[in-house]
Amino acid sequence: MRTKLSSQSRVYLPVLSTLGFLLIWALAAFLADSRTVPSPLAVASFIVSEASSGPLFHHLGATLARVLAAFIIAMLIGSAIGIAMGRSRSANQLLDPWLVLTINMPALVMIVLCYIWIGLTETAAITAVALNKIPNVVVTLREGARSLDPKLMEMAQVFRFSRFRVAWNVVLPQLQPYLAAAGRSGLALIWKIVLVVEFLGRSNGVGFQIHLYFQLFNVTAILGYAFAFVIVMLVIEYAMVQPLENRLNIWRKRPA
Amino acid sequence: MLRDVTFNLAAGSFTCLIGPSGIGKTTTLRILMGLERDFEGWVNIGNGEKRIAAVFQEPRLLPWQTVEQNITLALPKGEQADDLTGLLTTLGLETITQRYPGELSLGMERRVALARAFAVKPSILFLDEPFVSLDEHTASRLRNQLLQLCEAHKVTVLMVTHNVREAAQMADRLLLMNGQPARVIAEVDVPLPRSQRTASAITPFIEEMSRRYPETIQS
Repeated sequence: MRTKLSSQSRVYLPVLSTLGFLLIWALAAFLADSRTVPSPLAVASFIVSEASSGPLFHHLGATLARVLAAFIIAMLIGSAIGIAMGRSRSANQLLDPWLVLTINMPALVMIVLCYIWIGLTETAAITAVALNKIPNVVVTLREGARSLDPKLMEMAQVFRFSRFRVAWNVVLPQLQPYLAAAGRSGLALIWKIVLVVEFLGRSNGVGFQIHLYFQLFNVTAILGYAFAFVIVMLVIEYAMVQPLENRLNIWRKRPA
Repeated sequence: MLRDVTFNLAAGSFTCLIGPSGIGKTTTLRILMGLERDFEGWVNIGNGEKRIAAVFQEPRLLPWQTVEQNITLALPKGEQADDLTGLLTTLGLETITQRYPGELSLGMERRVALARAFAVKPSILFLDEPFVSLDEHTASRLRNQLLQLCEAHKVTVLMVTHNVREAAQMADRLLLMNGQPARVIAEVDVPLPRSQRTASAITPFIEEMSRRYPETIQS
């Protein structure tokens, strides 16, 4: 049955569903009655105490810094390669086998190889994460570059737009949805890979802490760190990404 | 598809390129605009730096820029349009400068495209069926506004159209294009000063043209 949601239920439904999730979790914790299934309350109080008197922010900061560094590098390099492949047939033919290879390479293999070849360093960690993400950015931006409207390019050519104007005012706005898509999925993918990188070869960050608490079998702490970082990512999404997108999409919002 | 297409445009004149659809009128225009590289021949747009401007069949506005930004973006960096307000008023755009193209009707978008073309102060203006798929009332108002602007800006115009009445009412001279491969089969000067070309006054000329060139002109 399809019914139109009132604006009230549109606000309440997500809240209700979140509460339902917490309730099921609490119930499961109660029934299991085990150290490996902590209650939501236990996890929440761990986060609070780790934040007020523990190293939570130190590790969140380390992970966030790696996420941002790898994200920026992957977006810049991936966009450049993707646009080149979308615009030039020979560039596409030349680089496509590399793309197929890297996009199918398991993240774990790239991480281990980077650590072996470069050493257990920050450079190796960020390189490994960026290498995992670059192929996805390339694929998305290649699609974007292929969809550029030739009619607008011709207009720009007749009116002798400068290179900068073509790039900034004609090309970039057309690529913006593709950049947004690559960025969105990128942030989510990258932070998961950063955790693996930290788990395997760093001495701080959320992944390192999870490694530590895994050895102690402390599930409360593992879930605490995981949820704390999810909250950080949610803040980034709602406080930065969405306002930016709304600002860039003003011209789409108004119907004719 | 084109062979021996040869013609001259007098400076400051209004010329219409007319012929059946698919004959290569737009291709000719694209060669002149520098958008088509695959041809043999010679295009001379006069000595010195000549600015060209165009109005395409579709308005080709940037949908993410306002009307005003669309017009000023076509100007070289640092250059101001002479009397932009006057240009916008002539075309009836002065109240919608902050709107986006997606909010405008096709007629309005065409006006913006015309404003953009004239804002760059071109020596040559290329028009590719700029009034196609507009209702006759809107089209005729837009034609008058275009002629008014051409007069004021002393611009050389080449307009592609397949509407012989439109061509006869606006142009100083008609270039008729036909054949396989296509070439310019005739150049005809339109009689009567433009101000005297009322619908009834120009009809005999159109009828004679369609009698002499029945393959090229469908009135």
